[in-house]
Amino acid sequence: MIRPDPFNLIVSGIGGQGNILLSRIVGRLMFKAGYYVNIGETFGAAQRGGSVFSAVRISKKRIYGPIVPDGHANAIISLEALEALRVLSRYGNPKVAAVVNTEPIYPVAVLSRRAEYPGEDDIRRAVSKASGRAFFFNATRMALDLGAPIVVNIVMLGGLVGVGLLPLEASLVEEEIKTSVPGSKTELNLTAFRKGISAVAV
Amino acid sequence: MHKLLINSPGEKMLLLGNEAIARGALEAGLAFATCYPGTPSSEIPEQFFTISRESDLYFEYSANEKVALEVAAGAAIAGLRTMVTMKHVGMNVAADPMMTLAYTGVKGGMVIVNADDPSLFSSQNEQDNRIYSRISSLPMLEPTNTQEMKDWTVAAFDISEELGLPVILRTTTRLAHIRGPVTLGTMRPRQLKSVFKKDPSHYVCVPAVSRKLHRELLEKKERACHMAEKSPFNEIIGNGELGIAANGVSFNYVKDAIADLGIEDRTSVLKLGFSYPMPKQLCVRFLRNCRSVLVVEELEPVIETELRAIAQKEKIDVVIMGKGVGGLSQLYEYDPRMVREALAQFCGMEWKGRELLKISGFPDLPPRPPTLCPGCPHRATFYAVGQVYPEDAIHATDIGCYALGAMPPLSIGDMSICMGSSVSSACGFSRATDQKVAAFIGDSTFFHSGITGLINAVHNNHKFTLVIMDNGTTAMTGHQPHPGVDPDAMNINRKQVSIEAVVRACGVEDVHVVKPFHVKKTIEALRASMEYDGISVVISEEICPLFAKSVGKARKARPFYVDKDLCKNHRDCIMYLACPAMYLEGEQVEINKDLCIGCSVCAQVCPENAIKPLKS
Repeated sequence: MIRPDPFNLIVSGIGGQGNILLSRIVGRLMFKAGYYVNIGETFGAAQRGGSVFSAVRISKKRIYGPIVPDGHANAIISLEALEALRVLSRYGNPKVAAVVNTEPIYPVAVLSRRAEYPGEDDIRRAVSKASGRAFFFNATRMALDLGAPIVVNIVMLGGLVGVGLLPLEASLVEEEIKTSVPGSKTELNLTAFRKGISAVAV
Repeated sequence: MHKLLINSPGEKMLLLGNEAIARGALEAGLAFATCYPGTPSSEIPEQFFTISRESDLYFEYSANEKVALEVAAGAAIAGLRTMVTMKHVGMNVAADPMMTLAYTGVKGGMVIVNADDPSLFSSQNEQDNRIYSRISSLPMLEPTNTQEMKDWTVAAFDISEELGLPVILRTTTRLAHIRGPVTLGTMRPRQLKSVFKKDPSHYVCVPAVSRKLHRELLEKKERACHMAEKSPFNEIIGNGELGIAANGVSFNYVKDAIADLGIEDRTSVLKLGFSYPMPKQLCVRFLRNCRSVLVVEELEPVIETELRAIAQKEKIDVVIMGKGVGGLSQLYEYDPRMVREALAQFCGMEWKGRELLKISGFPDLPPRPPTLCPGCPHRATFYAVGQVYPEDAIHATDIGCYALGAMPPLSIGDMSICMGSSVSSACGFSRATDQKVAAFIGDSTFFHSGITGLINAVHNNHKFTLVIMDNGTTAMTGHQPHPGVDPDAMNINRKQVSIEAVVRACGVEDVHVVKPFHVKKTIEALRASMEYDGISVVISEEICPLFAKSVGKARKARPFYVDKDLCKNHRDCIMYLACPAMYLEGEQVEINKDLCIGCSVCAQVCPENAIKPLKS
């Protein structure tokens, strides 16, 4: 069983980071486990480089609409630090769990000094304030250590599974990863996934 | 085998809304599909594109939506089951054939999928295309979830054949891009060939024929209305005297809100799925049972207006509300909170909802709009344009990734309204002002609707430069082919149409072909073109790096780095280019080697030659 029902998971990041794949893997696993699942996806190349998020709504009872009501996220997983805050500012609440990649990616306006990117400590403080539990780690660094920045989303999936909010068994997630990525990338992705799990292990 | 071809009725799959529509079409025995891609409809034809390579389904990416509909019209009048997909503004382009195709009707079932975009996630406007069913008299279905998107697509083909009319299936971004459960049905066989029976008194729309056909269309509409009355897609749920009417995605929010507020016993919901023609008798029954009615529909007050007309005609004393209640407006998409508030207000309930976080004390969040990718050739072209054209020059731009060039620091783009408007509006600007004028159009958009504007410019002696930014694909919607793509790169059996040959054949005498990563040469060509007395065309050719990667043709260039011994911190690289691969480490510009594709443009822009390729 999941609690609460419906359970609303938000996956945020930047277009091109792979948040869609992450939400699809979670959605498919819960669907296979017999839950009603609805994933609202924001994507398209038109969103590349911009803020994006997808919402997975999971329930034993029925299908829920594609948009999470404001203030009603149960977990957020963010592939980029600032984007965690953007999503929390609308969907956050004192009970939500947040799993956040601390590596910043600077918007163009920040580069040309037309806007300022908040400091890491400010982001951590605000995320902690807008959530019940917060987990921070540098998933980008871990992905780079594996020589593949592309797998940052799979590291974060490991983080989500490691936190244990959803009844997701690591072995089943690994099976799903195998069917979701090209054969030559299987080992790389499994390693990334396990790194993510250990990143949140206390 | 493609997952949508699996013939296992009863199996459950988690499908994207657009995949569900594609599956529905295949179950209905779709034989022939066409489209011009457009968000949020593009994932439907994407399925057909792949499936047509491993089955006998005919599919084509057509030059534009008008062409797509006309191609499909030929096949449907001949007798095949056809589907045409487009985004809402694409229907404006297809409207010309659609209005009169409604007169001739079709023999094989035809479903026109129209995807509206409330909130303008990736569009130039948020027009409500339900209105198109009203002016064309074509029936419209509006599914509310993934299962209905599949099932009603199958039904749409049957309705189309029963009436002999194309049927419009309308979705919105939220539905097109939901992933939800779908129980599969049985695959029906495809009919791949037919024989056209001549019948000019039905298909050649001269005035004498069309006068008769219009009468026939109205008769068909009357029959469609009877079908809508009996359709299971329209229903009244509950029998409370507070009525709520809803369509499409809004129906989900209404359902969730009623459960949340616990008002099942007090309300009745009119769900309009076969939404045009409106099922009048059903509406009358609904209205007579209600004390007051709230209409929950995104964008225009279409249902609201029509329910009012029915109530007035039938002398039913009922208050009908919609736009203006709570946050319900004609603007943008609805969300669950807004609908809960409106329903609570309508029912006279106190509802505050969950208190939102106090975000005072939050740091300011810098906005993050979409940007041109690292190494995007458009950035290089726009940089060169900025070097050549004076500050007050007019830059008419168009629909595509390059519209992002209008944002700082590139800031090239002064006007864009629709596909192809860059070329034609430049004609007007160049006559109406003495400012320098340049127009910018992508390769796919050029084929879609830029060519006519160019011919117009040549014939009417307009004076400006047209820059065709040829990145070898339809980039923004996800790398679909167009008539100019390299068929070998995409492994498709199609002929390539040369942009340069088309431009010259249109009568343009001053033509320059440049590689935008050669900054100096590009600047020279643009300057010569700007000074040319007449219409001049610059074709800026460089493959979209994302597309290149996906077809295994990525640049084999080394990424660049900033040599700190040489860098004097002018920051021309950031100020003029602002490539997302650049970042500041303290006060020092750095380049992220994992993002840099080695286009070398920043190295050419740096006054100190401080940007160099990394040694491997």
